[in-house]
Amino acid sequence: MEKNNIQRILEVAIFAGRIMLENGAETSRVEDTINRICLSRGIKVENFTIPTGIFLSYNEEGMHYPYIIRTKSVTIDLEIIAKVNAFSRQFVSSDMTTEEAQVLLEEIMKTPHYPLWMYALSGGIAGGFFTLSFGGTALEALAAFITSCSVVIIVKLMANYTGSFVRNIAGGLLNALIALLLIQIFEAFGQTLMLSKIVIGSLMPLVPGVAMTNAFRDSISGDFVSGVSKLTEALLIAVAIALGVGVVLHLKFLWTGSV
Amino acid sequence: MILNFIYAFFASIGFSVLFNIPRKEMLYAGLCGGFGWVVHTQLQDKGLSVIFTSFIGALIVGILSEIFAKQRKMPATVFVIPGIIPLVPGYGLYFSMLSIIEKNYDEATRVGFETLIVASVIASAIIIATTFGKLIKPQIYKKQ
Repeated sequence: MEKNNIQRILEVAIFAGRIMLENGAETSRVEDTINRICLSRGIKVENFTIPTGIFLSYNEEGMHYPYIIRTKSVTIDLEIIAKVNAFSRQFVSSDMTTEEAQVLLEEIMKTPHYPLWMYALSGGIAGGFFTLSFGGTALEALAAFITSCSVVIIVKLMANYTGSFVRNIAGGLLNALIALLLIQIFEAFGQTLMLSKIVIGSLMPLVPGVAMTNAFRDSISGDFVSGVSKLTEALLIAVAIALGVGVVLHLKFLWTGSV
Repeated sequence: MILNFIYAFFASIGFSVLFNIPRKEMLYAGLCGGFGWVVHTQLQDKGLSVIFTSFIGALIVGILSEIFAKQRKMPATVFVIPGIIPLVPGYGLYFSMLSIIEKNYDEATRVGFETLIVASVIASAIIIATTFGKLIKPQIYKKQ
């Protein structure tokens, strides 16, 4: 096969893989997509994907085509993953040229996220209903709704400036502070709320339960590198949130003598 | 029971926005979350351990996700991730870390260990559902 052609196909494959990985796809899905795209054009590649990068190489008649891509995962965007999945199926089953594929992938990359207010609203809804399902009252759910909304906004806004560790410390800190403030406000109206119920529910948009479960999913299906690194990520996020909340609770303990 | 379903349904829908799942699929993701959580709470009321109930709940989520994935022509992850949200032990993870910070190591070990087991049990239930989905797939196509 012509040299340029091989390079272009590899580029399409790795571009598709990068988009998936950066939007939170599992490594096995990324490897599978890359292999399928390459195989459909008669190229059998060696491919190794970890959560922070893709290694891809192809040897033919003494020519080496190595590719290494370092990725930084920012968000989980399941819509983009579904779209790239559909794209790879379309690419494999048709005679799409690499130029067309590049254009399609660039379009997928531009898929709009939801606006910030919608993230905030849905984060709030999630937090509020979690409080209810943990046995909180309607007022506690309302407080959790407000807390979650503001925490989601702040964490999203900080995403451009800080890493996830600092961001989650700030998230936990603000979460506890806002919850305490709301309790004081409700107290003034003669309503007593439980701090723990509010904090539990409103923290749910931050806590890495899904990251942890995915870590085990990866490990069980044999991707141990990915599993271990996701487990580390989940534990670090949990430490960060607990640190943020813990600081506030400690200060409150020193101040008032009770948590 | 209906209240529990509604809580988990909306919690899952809230999370499906945070995970950017396509608008049209949100209802189905919510259904996954709702049914998984209802089964989990119903079994827990009967006195079964949280580990077993999480497994069954996650199995329900996994099976529903596979069915929706076939019908809606989407990867199953789109439904699995919001669906397991009510079940995942995020709170346990946070609580065990908080216990460590408060020097309450016994509680931290107990909750932390339970969290690890629950997470791995949910993961294995999802994997079992996915595996069966793959096994059944060719037969569904043959029937059509």
